Amino acid sequence: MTTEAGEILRVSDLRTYFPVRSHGLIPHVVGQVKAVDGVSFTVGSAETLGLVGESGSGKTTVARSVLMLVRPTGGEIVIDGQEITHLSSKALMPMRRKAQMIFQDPYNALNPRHTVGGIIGAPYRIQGIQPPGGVRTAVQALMERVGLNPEHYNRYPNEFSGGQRQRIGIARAIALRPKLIVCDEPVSALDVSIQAQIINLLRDLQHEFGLSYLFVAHDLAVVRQISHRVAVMYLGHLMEMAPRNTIYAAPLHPYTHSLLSAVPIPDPVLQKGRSRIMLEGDLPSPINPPSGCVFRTRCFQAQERCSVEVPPLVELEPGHYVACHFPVATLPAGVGIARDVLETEPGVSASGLQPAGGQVSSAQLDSLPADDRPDSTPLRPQERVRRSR
Amino acid sequence: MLTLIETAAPTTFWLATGAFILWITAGISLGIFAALNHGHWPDRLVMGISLVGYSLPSFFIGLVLIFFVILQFGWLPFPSYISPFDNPFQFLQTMILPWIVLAVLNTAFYMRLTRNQVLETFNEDYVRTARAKGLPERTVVVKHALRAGLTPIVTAAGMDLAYLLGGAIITESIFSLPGLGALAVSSVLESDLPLIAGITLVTATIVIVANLVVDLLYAVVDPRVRLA
Amino acid sequence: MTTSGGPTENPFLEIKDLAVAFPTEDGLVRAVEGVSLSIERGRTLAIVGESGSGKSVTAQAIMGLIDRKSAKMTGEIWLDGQELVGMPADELQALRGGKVAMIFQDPMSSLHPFYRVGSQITEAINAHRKMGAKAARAIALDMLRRVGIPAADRRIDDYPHQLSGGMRQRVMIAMALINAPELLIADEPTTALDVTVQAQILELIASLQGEFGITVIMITHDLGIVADVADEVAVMYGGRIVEVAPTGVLYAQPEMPYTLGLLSSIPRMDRELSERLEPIPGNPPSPISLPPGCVFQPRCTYSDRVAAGACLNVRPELLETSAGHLVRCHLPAEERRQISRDVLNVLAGGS
Repeated sequence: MTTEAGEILRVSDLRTYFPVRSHGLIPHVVGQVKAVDGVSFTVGSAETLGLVGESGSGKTTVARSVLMLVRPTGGEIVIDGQEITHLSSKALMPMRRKAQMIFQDPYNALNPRHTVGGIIGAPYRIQGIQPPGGVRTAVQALMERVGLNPEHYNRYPNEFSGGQRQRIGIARAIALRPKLIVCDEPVSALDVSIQAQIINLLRDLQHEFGLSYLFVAHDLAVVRQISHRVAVMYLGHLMEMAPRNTIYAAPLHPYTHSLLSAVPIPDPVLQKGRSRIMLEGDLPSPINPPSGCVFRTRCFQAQERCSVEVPPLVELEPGHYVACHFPVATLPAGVGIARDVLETEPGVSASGLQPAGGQVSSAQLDSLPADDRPDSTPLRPQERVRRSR
Repeated sequence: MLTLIETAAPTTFWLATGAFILWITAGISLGIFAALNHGHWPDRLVMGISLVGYSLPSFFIGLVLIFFVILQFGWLPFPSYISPFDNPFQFLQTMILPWIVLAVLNTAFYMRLTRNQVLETFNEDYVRTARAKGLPERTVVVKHALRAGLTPIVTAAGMDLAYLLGGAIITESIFSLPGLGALAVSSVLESDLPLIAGITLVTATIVIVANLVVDLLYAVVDPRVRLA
Repeated sequence: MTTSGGPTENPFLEIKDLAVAFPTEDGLVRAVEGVSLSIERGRTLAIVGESGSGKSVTAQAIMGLIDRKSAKMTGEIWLDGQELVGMPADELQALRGGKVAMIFQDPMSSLHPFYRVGSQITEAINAHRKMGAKAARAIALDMLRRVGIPAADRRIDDYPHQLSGGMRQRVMIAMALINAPELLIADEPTTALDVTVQAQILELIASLQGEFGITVIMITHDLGIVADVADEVAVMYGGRIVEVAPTGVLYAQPEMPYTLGLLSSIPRMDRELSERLEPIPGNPPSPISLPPGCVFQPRCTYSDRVAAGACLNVRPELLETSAGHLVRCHLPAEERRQISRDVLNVLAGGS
C-alpha cells in the first residue's frame, strides 16, 4: 500500500472486466470482456510512461481505471501513496486534485454551453479552492501558459480550432497542479502540424511543473517522442515494458517487433527497402481469449508451450520486462526499424512486398537470406490457419 | 364492466387504425418530398404546413370541421357510429372527420421526423458508397437512404398507434364516438372505480404488447439488433 | 508497377484548373482552386494534406461525387480521353464503380448496415453488367477470396457489423475492384485501422495493383504511407496543390516551405530523437476567408525574404522547378533549395 520514493502511480495486477449481457427477453450476463487482465506498472515522478496498443488492447480502459472513471474488478491503484480502488466517489475527490485527464476528442470533451473560462476554472469551483488573485486571474494565467489568448476567456469552445480546444483541455487539467496527468490519445484527432505543437506543450509543462504522464496512444512515433518508458499492451495484457530507447531499438517481444515493423517510415528510400512482419488475421475476441499467451494465435514464434502456459512478465534485462516464452533478440536486417536498419545499405536485404494473390501470410522471413537470421533465437514462421473469432 | 370495454374497443380500434394509415401515408410521403427538395420552396411549404398542423389543438380542428362540413354545408351527416360490417358507407361517413382530426397532429410530427431522418441519411457514408458504385439515383435514394432513414420511424409509429388504441379522449368526445376514450371519461365522471381500473389495464396491456411488437419488428428491419 | 515508361502523349488522368466551391450560410467555401494534376497509367499518385486542404474534395470531383446542384465546379478532368466535369449525369454514373472506383476512410460507416456484404457487392456488379444472381454471387465470392477474406463462402452472408475493421475494408476493396476499374481512388483507406491492419491493407492494395495494373490515387495525411506506396506526390494546402514531385525528390529536396514544415513537424522513428519537434506555427486558413496572397503566408517563416510583400498580395503560380517537380512559392528557386538543404540537415541529426 505504499509507493517507493519518486513513484507517483503504482498499478498492481489491475483487472477491469465488463459484463456481456444478452439482449433477449430476459437480459442476463452471458460472459465477460476482460478488457484489462492483470496489468502492473509504475510511473515515476516527472516521468512519462507511454502505453501503446491497438484497438481492443485495453489501453484506454487502463487509463480510465487509473482515475477510477471505470471501477476496476480487481487489483490495486496507488496514487502518490494512497490506494484508491476502495474509495467511494466522495472520498476520491481529494485524489482528483493529484490526478487529471486529457481526452482524445477535443470536440466532444468540452461542454459547448460553457465558456472557456468556465471550463478551465471548473476544477477550482468543484474542489472549493480559491486560487490567489481569484479564479479569473488564475484561469487567464493558465490560458496564457498553454498558448491561448487570455482575452478569449468568455468565448465558447466552438469558436476554437481543434488544436486550441486541446489546449483548453490541457489548461483545465493542469489547473490544480496535479502530479499525474493521464493523457488518452491527446493528439490523435489533430492534424500533423498541430500535433507537434501539443506534444511540445506537454513536454514543456512536464519540465515546468514536474508532471508525470501516463500517455496512452496508438501512434508509436508520437509515443517515442514524449515517453521515457514505454509499455506495450495486447488484448488486456502487458506484452513488454522498457525504457524508450530499448523498446524501439532492441525490443524482445514478437508483438513489439510486429508493431514497429508495420509503421511506415516517412522516407521512401528506407521504407521501400523494408519488409514487414505481417500479423495474420484479426484480434481474438476478448470474451473468449486464447489460452496461454493471448498473442500466440498471430505470433510467428508460437509453439506448443505458448498455448498451455501464460508467459509471466519478467525482467530480462534491468528495467526491461517481457511476457514471452520465446523472446526475439534480433530480427533479420531490413525487418522492423531497429537502429541497424539505418546502417545497412537500403534495399540489400529487402524481401520486398508480399507476393500477389491477396493472401496475406505470416512473416515472410523465409525469404530472407539465411545469413541474416539470428543464431540464438531461430525464427520459424509457421503455417497457421487458426483464427479465433 | 368487460362488456362495456368490449363494446367500446372496436370503435377505438377503427378510429386509431384509420387515423394511423392516414397520418403514416401523408406524413412519410410529404416528409420524403420535403427532404428530396431540401432547401427549396416545396421543402419550406411542407415545413410550414407541418408547423400549422402542429400548433392547432385537435378540439379546435374538430369543432371547426363539425361547424363547416356538417352544420354549415351539410356535406356529411352528423356522426353516429356504426360498425363497418353493418354499413360500410355510413361507417366511412362517420369516421372520416375523426380520422382527419386525429391524424393532423401526427402527420405534422411525422413530416418533420421523416424529413430530418432522410436528410440525415443522405449524409451517411454508405449513401456515398452507393453512389460510388454507380447505382442509379433512384436506387440510391430508395434502397439505401430511405430504408435506413425510415427505420427509426417504425418505433415511433408503433408506440403512437398503441397510445391511440388506449382511447382518443378528445376526438371521441367531440364526435360522440362510443370508444374507450369516451368510456374512460364517463367512468371518471361517475367515479366507477372498477371500470377505470379495467380501462387502465387494457390500455397498459396494449402499450406493452406494442412495445414488444415494435422491438421485434425493429430486429427484422435492422440486422444489427438481431439476437446473436 | 506495370508501366514505368516515358511520358505518353496524353496522361491517363489529367486535371486542369479544377475549382470546387460550396455556397454556405457563412459564405462561399472555396474547397479547391486551380488544381492541375496528371497521372500515367499504372502508377500511384499520393495526394497528401491536412484536414481542409481540399484533398478529399479533389478525389470526389474525379469520382463525380460532387453534387452539381449545390456546388460550383469548373475546370476540366480528362480520364483516358473523356472529360468528366461537363459529362452528362448518366454517363458519369456508368463511370462510377466501373472504370473508376473508390474506397473510403471508415469501412464501418461506408458499408450499408442493413444489407449482407455479398448483396452489397453483387449490387455493384449489377449496376454495370446484367447477369444472373448465381453468377454474380460466384464473382463476388471469388473477389472476396482474392482480397484475403478467410472462409469467404461464409463471410459473404455476414452483415458488416459481424466483421472486423480490417475485414470490412477488404470488403470495400473487393466491392471497388469487382468491375475491374482502371483507376482506384483510396481516400484515407487505413486511417480508421490499426497499424498492423494498415500494413495488411496497404500490401493488399499494392499487390492487387500489380495484378490488375490499376492506377491508384492515394489520399492520405500520413507521410509514412506516402513514402511506402507513392510514385508521385502532390501536396495540398488551403485548397491548392503547393508542390508536386516524384516521391524520392519530394522527401530529398522539398522546396515548398509547407512541405518542409510537414516533414519537420512529424515525430519519426528512423531518426535520433530531438528534444523538441518543430511545429508549423498557427492554424490552417479558413476556406471561406483565404489569405489574399499565398495561402500559406500567415504560417510561413520565410515570406519576409520575398521582396515587396508579394507573398501577402500575389497568389503564386505552380511552376516547374525541375523535371516533374512543381512548386507554388514566391521564393527564388535557389533560395528555396538552400533553405531546404539547411532544414533537412538539421532534421537528419546535424543539430
